[in-house]
Amino acid sequence: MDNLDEALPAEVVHPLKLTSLKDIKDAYSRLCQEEIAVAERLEWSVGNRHHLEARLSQLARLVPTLQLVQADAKQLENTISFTHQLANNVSAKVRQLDLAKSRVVETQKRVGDLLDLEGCSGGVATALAQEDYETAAAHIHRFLAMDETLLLHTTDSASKAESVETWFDRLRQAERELSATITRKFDDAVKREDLASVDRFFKLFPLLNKHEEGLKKFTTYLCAKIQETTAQNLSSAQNLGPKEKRSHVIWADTITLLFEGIARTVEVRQPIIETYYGPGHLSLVLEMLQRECDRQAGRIVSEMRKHRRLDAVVSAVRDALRFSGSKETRVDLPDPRDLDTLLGELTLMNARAELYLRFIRRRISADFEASIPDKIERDKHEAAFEAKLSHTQLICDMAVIVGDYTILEQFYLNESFKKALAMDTVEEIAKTSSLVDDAFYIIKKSVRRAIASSSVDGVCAMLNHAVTLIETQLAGGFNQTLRKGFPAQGYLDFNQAYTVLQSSLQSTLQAGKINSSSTDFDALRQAFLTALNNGETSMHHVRRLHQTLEDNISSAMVGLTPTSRAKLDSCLSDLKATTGRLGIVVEFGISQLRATAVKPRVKPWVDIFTTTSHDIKEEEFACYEANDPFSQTLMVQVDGLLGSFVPLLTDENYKSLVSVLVAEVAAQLEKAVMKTTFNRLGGLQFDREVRAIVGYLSQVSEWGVREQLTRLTQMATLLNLENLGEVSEYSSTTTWRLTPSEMRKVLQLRVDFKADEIKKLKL
Amino acid sequence: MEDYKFLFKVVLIGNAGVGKTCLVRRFTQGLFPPGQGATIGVDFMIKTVEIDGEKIKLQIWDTAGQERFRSITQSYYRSAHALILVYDISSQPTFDCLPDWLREIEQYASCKVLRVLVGNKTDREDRELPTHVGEEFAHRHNMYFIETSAKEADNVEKLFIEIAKELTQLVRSGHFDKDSKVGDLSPQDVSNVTLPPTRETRSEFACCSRWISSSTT
Repeated sequence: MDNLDEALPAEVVHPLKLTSLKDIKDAYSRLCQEEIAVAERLEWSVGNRHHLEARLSQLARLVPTLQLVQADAKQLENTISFTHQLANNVSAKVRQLDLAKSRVVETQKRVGDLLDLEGCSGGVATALAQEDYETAAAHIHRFLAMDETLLLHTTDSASKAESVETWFDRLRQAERELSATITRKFDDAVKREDLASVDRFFKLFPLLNKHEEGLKKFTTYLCAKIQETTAQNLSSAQNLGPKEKRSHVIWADTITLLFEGIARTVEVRQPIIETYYGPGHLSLVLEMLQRECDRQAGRIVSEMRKHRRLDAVVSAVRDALRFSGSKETRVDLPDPRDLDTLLGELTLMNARAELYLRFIRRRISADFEASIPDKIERDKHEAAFEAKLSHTQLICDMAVIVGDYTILEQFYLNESFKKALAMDTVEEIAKTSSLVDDAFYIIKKSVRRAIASSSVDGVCAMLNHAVTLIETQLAGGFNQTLRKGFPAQGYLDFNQAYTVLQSSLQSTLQAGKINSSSTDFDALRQAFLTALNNGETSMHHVRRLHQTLEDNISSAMVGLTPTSRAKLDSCLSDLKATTGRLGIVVEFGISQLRATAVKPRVKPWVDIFTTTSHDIKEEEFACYEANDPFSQTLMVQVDGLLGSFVPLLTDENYKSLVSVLVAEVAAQLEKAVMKTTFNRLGGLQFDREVRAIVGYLSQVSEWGVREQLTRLTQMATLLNLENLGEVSEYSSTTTWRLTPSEMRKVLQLRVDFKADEIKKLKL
Repeated sequence: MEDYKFLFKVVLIGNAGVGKTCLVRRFTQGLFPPGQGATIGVDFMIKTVEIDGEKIKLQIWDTAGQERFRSITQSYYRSAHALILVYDISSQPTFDCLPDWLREIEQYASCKVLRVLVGNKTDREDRELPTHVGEEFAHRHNMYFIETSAKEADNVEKLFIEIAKELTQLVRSGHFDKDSKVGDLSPQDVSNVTLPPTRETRSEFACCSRWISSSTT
């Protein structure tokens, strides 16, 4: 069995290499195993001998059958290769047939063309003779769709070629003739104002492949109509009496008629153009119409300038704005109230133009969408149209109008404000003066008028001018008044001072009398408080104005580009930011009030604390319980001070005053405490006082204000301790607002606490 | 909310046709559009630059040079952090108008505004104004000075980057917040930078020499 040798070559080790006994034993056992396996296989083969023999004889019987199969397979192969060849031949023939068929079709078409050609050349002549231009044009259209040279080559004989050429010649001539006739008839129709004929011949141009010429002629006709209408409208506008109903906006009306006329023309003509010329021709028409629009709008605008004396008014106002510092005013300076109507008309003109331009843009983009499927290509066309549109005379004229409008509106705003300032009064019960309401009314009016003009630049400019007005005139003006200070000297008791102030104010208002020197102080006080309230109220006004204008802009100015939106947003946020400037002014006013009206008043009250001993006996403590020498007085005084300001300050300013008053009381009392000594009962008394004061101040102030009293409360806690050991107990539950060194200083105020023990405390 | 440290308003002014729009386009879009039409009203563009690792947003207002739009364009002076006054180095008249422009700035802009004089179109062969003339004018009026070419993209980037740098420094030194609270201005706060209307303090910027010396390399 030599396959056995091969099957186990690795395991059979050369006997000479077996050097150790173990190796030899291993080799022996392996050989024994092999022998057993071989024996098993041998036994199996011998056992199956009969079966194997039967199989072999079966195989021998199969051999002839296999020969038969082989012969069959060979035959099949032959058949297949034959079929393949056949199929190849057939497909070649089919291709030939296809070619032949397409040539037949082509030939048929040429035959058809030739037949039509003959028909056309005959038909055109008769149609022309009968003035049936539609049929003639249809024939020519058919002829123009043919390929001349191909048809000439089709004919084999010279005579036939000749006749084809004559047909061609005849048709070419007919085409020229027809085109000339149509052009002439169209022009005639235009001259005769025969609308039906204009339409009739307009439809024939595309049949002669003269799309552009047809459109140009037609649009020229439309332009002439527009020119005519505008001339009529202009002359009736010029002749309109100043008393007529719409005379104050007649130029805006006239330009509106122009825009509406063009829009209507487009509306009516576009479907006709699309039907007979196909989509994609609108840009040519609109460009031509726009040129006419530019010319006509220019005429209207220059008429308007002349009649409204716009240039003179603008130049007077511009000089006035430029030399606003100088005293002499030009005599020809308009009254801002008279500008109202002019401003209204200018905004209306621009608003109408914007509306018209939006219509044109919408139409052109719809037309491009219908004719150019490729997005990139379409965008390119739209951008090109937009570039042309944005540099048209109309847009330039309107930009100049917006420029003029802005100058006048700026002047209107400033002058109206000056008037409001001159007429500034304080109503008897009002906390603010009339200026604030008036100023914001004027600003709102001006900016809203700018919004009505639909001009983004106009709105932005007016927002900027409004910001300037608020920051320089309002905030700046309030600041100036507040810098003069709040006079407190002259009266020891503020209540008394207040009564005098009220009565003198009333007498001033009622009788116009001016009292002696005290009135100067009263006037100053009044002015100070009004400025303070005005400043605070202005912040509310700014916030409300911002919201209103933002809403107005979003609803009135639709379809803005991202850039325009960003411009408006930037200017709007500048308006909102003026609250910051006003806030600083108000804050300054409150600090002035603290310095002159609060600080000097608090001082004597706290002095009572300093003069009251806190190193006291049982009897004094009991006596204080019934009749507190300090806290009661303080509360009454604070109440009196606050009470006197309630009718004088706006809610927000009053809150600020309470806050500074509480801060001042806390600060001064803290200082006073540090100068006082306490025994155990004194500490208890102080704790009682602080509780009463904190309880009272919490009632009159807002939650946040109480924070300012925490330090004082904690001082009272420290001074009210039984012994120093309690400090650590409190420390576990309290976040100290006092620094460790401050705590030690406070504890040292207790006469019965020992200094070295305080030093040892862990804080 | 976009991520930026400061927002500055930069306003370009100067005669019509000196190339204000081209400077802005070059800087914001890297383009030089030939045959640029006259600007109508005010154009608006934004570019964020990085100064010392901080994002600075420049809001650039490109104004029309024509007199007719003056009321619209002047309304932007007051809130501007920087004003770029541009003239054309090949056109004496545009230089001669500079005093008029300065008067406008005096009247309408904040006294704290950063003022930069720019001589544009250095690519032109027909120069009428030598560099030192512009430089002297800038020096006399306490302005920064730089010469640029929007066409050749020369010094344009530098112009705006220097402005951003200078403004960042001014904000950090508290130049703009005399009346407002002291402290670092957050991005939202930056629009609140109040430029007080009073002009009692004349700003004391170092002058032009710094820019021009490094730009003539």
